[in-house]
Amino acid sequence: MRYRFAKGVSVVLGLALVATACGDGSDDDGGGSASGDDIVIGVAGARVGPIANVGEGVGEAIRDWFDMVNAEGGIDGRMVKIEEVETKYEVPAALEAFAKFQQSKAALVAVEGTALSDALTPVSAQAKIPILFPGQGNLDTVDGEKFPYAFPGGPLYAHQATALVQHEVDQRGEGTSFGCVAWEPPPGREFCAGVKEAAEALGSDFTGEVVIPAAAADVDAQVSDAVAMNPDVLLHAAIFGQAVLLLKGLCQEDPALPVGAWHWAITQNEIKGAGSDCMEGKFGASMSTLPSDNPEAVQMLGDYWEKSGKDPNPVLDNNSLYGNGLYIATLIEEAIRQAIKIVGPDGDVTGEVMKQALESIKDYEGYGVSCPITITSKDHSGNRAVNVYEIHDGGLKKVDDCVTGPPVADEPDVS
Amino acid sequence: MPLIAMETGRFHESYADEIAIYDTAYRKIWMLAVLGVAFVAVPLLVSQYWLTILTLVGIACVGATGLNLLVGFAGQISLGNAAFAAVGAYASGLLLTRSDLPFWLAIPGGMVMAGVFSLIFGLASLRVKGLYLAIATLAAQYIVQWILSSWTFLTGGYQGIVVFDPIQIGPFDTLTPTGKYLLVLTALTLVVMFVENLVRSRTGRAMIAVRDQDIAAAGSAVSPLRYKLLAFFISSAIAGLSGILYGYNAGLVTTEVFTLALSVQYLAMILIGGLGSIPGSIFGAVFITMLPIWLRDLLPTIGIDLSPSVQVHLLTLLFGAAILLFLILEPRGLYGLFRNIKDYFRMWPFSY
Repeated sequence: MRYRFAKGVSVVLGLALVATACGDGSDDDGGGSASGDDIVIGVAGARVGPIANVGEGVGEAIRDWFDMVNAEGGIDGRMVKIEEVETKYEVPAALEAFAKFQQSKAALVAVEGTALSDALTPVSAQAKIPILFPGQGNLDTVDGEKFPYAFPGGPLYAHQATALVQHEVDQRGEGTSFGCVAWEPPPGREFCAGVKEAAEALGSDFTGEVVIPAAAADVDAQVSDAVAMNPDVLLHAAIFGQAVLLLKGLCQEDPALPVGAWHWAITQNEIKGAGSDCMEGKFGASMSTLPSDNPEAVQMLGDYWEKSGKDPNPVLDNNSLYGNGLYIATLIEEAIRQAIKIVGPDGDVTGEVMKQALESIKDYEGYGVSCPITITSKDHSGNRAVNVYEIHDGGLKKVDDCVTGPPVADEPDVS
Repeated sequence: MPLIAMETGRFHESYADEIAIYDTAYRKIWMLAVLGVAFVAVPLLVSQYWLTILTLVGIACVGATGLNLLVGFAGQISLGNAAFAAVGAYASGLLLTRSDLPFWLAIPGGMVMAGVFSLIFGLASLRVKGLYLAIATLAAQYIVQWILSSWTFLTGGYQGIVVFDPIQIGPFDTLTPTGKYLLVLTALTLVVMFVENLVRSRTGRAMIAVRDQDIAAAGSAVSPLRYKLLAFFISSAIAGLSGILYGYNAGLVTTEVFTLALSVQYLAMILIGGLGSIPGSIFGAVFITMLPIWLRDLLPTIGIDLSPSVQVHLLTLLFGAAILLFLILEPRGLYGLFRNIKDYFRMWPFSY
């Protein structure tokens, strides 16, 4: 029995080793398609793990968008090949995925998750392949001179926080006090640091920060602490299951407390989990115009599905983070269009060309999905604006358009 | 004159023979050939993608070898390997960037810091028998994560990035995949040589004695506390080295990398590879690092195209199943399997 098992396993392992050794052996310096070939875009996906909801929404939208683009003749005749590799939001897997994209001569890599965008920032500079991670990432990466191949391309967590504070001060007046609940990893802490700075900059009080450990199974203590801070408005950067628990707890302990969230926690997940009664009036930031508002990009997809006889993707309706995916997809499309302008219709779209192309984008609105995006060689932020949505009758309703908050003190000077 | 052939049996005529690393010249030649291929042929012939994979495998091998010294040879369990890797990585990175130390001082400096830090938990828990070290190292994992995100003056806090400037000596450059691969391979070779020699030494035998029967060891003037602490120190220093290598590979370290999941993964590597064997650590690290890639790239070639989420859940299932299967059918892990297969062919056609 033991020998049979040993032989079986050894045969499987041997075959696996042989197969994996049969790589194409190509030299993979730099990214980019050969002249006239498909343009490869890598997606370091995260459909499993702590940010699975993001991975699903963003991954599905990018796939759907470029299915449509390719079916309609590509971008100036060039087809776009999306290569998605699952990372589980783990850094070693992301490094492996990036190497795979490099081998596939990807011209750009879209990254989901701050841990991954941080880890890939130096690697992208070495490989000269831009990474794009709108709506996430480290504030330092807005500095295009320091991190030339890292492109946040959208509002970072601190920007989302300051914009939400601005919106609330506009609504409630100066002197409104703010408390914050942070998810323990860096994105959550950066969000609350932004709330504190903006509150102080706008003449409001910051009553304090409560932290939810990354692996916390219950958040009762945080709910009590948050209520005890007694803010006029509580903003939070919790995610998924923890966000639902937090919202349920807040609804029980202080149902009248206005609660707002960063863009990962204003989705159908929270509405379904905490219940539409609890979520009534809760609000949050979104870097994109949500699919429920039917922006032009969503109409285009709807027309394409109808014309091609394909079933509409249910994720579009079930996961509002699909809107963020459309933001990323349309931005990539525009970058490719600019790149083709630079190298000509049959030119070689390399990572360096894509960097140039991204840095030439000006006031781009992504078929109605994004607030105007402008990227320069110095400022890679793209924009610092968010839309504010409120939940009414179980649905998301836009209440403010492209709000920006006061400048963030820790942000590198890219003016 | 030694035979250049595989041994037919082990007939030691002296104590030196018994503790020799290589039983026959054949084995020595094999080992030199493997090193030659790894150091010369692989960087010349393998694509950059595979160099990147091999670098990741190498870092995992370093971490797993260090943990196996503690778990496999000294019989103690650590759930904080990732925490000690973090201490090594941050200490070394800060020595490089803030103190401007050269890499050849910053790397051992980071390893020593990881080892010394581990002693805080070791001293508190190794005086007594049982699972106390596992619990203490679990605490270490959480404490380190808290320190990394809260001691902003030291680590930069939750927004902190500690950059590892590349090592550049002539044509050797750790910015390139080849440079990273060679750095990791050199470190792995040194770690394997060190641990291989350590376990043959008086110290190593004392660790094994403590693992097998600590009361008898104490009766033979072997201090269980001393040797458990020593094993823990060395194991944590090697874990620190794996964190440093990670830093050089990625170019930076952040607070989100060194999680409890990574610690558990290291334990899975040595359980699957084989406890108490250095090749086992390497087999386990290769298996755990490569399995997701095999699943992703091989299944479509036989017509099975699974969605990424199914692939990942299948992977988790396979990890669990692999650990259970090995515990039931081959507790010596992949290395035990390898030995069985090798013995089968060596004895062929009279294998039994």
